[in-house]
Amino acid sequence: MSATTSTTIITGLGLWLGVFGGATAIAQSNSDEQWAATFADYDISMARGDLQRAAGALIEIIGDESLSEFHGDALLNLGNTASDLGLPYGALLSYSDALTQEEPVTAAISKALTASEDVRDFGLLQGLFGENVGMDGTPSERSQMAWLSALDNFRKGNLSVTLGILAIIPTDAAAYPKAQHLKGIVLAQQGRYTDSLAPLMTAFAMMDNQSDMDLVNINLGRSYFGAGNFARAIEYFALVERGSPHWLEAQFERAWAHFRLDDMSGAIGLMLNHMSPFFDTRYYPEAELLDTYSLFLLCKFPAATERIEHFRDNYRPIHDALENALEGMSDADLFFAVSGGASQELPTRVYLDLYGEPRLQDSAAAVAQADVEIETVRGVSDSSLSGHFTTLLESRRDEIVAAEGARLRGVLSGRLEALNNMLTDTEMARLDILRLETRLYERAAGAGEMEEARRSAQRQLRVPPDHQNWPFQGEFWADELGYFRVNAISECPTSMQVGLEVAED
Amino acid sequence: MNIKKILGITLASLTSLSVAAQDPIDIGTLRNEEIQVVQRRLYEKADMTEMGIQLGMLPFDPYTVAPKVQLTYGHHDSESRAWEIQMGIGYGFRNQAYRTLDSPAYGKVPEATRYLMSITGGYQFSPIYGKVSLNGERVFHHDIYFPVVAGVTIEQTVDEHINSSFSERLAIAPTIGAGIGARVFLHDNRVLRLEVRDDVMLQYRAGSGTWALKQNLGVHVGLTVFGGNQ
Repeated sequence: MSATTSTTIITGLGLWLGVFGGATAIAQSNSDEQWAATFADYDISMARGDLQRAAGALIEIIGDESLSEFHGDALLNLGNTASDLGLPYGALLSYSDALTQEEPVTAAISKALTASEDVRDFGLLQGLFGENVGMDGTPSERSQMAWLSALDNFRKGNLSVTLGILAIIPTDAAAYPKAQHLKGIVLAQQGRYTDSLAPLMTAFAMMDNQSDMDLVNINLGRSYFGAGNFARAIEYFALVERGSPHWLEAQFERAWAHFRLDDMSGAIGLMLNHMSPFFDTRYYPEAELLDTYSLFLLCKFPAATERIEHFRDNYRPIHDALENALEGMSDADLFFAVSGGASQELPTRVYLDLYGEPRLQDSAAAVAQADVEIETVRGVSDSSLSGHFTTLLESRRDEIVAAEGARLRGVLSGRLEALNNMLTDTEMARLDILRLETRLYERAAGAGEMEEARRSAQRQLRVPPDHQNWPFQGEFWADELGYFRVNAISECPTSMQVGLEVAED
Repeated sequence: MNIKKILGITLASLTSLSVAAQDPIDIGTLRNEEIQVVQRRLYEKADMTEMGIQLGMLPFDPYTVAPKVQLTYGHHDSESRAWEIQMGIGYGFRNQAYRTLDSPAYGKVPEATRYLMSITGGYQFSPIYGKVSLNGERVFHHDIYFPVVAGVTIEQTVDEHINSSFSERLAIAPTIGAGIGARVFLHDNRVLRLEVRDDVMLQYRAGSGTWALKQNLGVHVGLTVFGGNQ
């Protein structure tokens, strides 16, 4: 009672002096006593070891607009208390609120970073730091904030801002290698392929995790590809380890580089991996089309037609199922279906790679953690504590589900549209093939024999000393994936020109 | 077999035109011959040592059957050539034939010798390297090799009545042998090895005081481990 009275007197004095002497000085002169009075219930509860009541006292302060100058400290303490109560997500949300106060409580930065690691909700701080990268903190905290801020801006498409933020991460920071990696990606996305090579190579040199190095190699390959240096692109795609989760993607992009070098055999050889039954649950419609185009350019029309039929038989049902699923499922349904890796409506092939995304798995883990904590706080006796954290957690949980669900819808809608275009294109390609094939056979019928194929350079099959040459007998062996060498003979007659834009002969 | 072949040729000559017209299989397709698999050798042997242990059996001796243990150590000079030494230890037990002949009904003890140990060394040639697939899932690489060995085999006359002295019943015989084996490559440089080897020895038999040739056809199964480059 006495504490409340003295607070009132002091506040009244402060207001009076504020009119005449300046609010800052008053706040400083009275802050300790005011603080003690405001946090008295909290202090007493903590002294008694009653964490729930302590949290309740802090929530009361936070709910009182007249005590807004203490909200930052109250939120910081609420985060600590929530952490002690076994509510790391509740703690993260409290620290995050402390950092969004008019005067951010910088003591909450490191605690928020740790809590975000615990609950795997990185998006919350990315958004927060993304809008306030200049927040005070230790050098290490500033690096981490800058990294999260850069990620946030990158995901929002603010490429120039991302580059600016990445520049403030010092070379001795733990985040520096991945910052250089991101810098390379951003530069490549800006079309500055040559500029992107140096940061990517720096990132590669500083990394010690093979999975990360594989990713950098893919991105180096992409940069060289973008720069038109397909031979170097092939080199880097080929560096991706065979056991890497990124290996199949690297083989696909490498096949494109071979294709661009007019090495159809190389492209077909790499596409054999994607055609094998071992990867028939992976979504690579473009790989089938690349294979088809390669066969087409070698005038292997029956084989190209067969591939097109195979493509249509495979992907038409997937297209229809995906279309229906996107119409019938909400964003939240999509999130839970894809992140859970099990869906009745969605064809597995279209989301298997999304299911494996670390970002989605982090979000799924965060949502699961939020659910656990919601259940926990619903069981506590203190209604203010329960109500406060239930609202916060449900809100954040719904936010993640909505954001990730919308992102997944965007990705899957893009795939649907692309697949639709591909299916339409194959109809056209089928007609082109039919026309050229007919012309080829008409000439053969007129001449009485098949026209001699144009002579083309054949690659010499080189078997390195530590390699074994096996004949291909139409079967796919798991251990042979990645080792196919195709030496396809072009069957294009001398007088016939076949190109991607099907040319008249 | 021959009749079928002749019939086939006759029919082919009668229908060759239609066969030619109906033979578009190779036009416009990607033929298997156009595809090769150039695979990094998953299990290299060159410059590697190989050592291991095998359990063996000499089951084809007319009077004894000898389980044995064989220790091997070798070095692969290349993917197809290696030298190896083998040390075998075993004991030949009387078999049913011996016991029957030794029974009162016959009373005719054959002059049999039992296997005790052998030390041999020699060269291996492995010209065949292949692989098998189990249900399309697990793939096992293997090689087939041919060992040629020379060394010494120590045996002992089974019948104690010939001479009560253990050492005087011993028959130390120069030995040469040849066989066939297979290595099935498992994980972590481990290899399952199967080998059948016929050792031929020139043996002096103390009982009759004669020299005789004897064959020990052994079947061995065991594990070896490949070591780093030497």
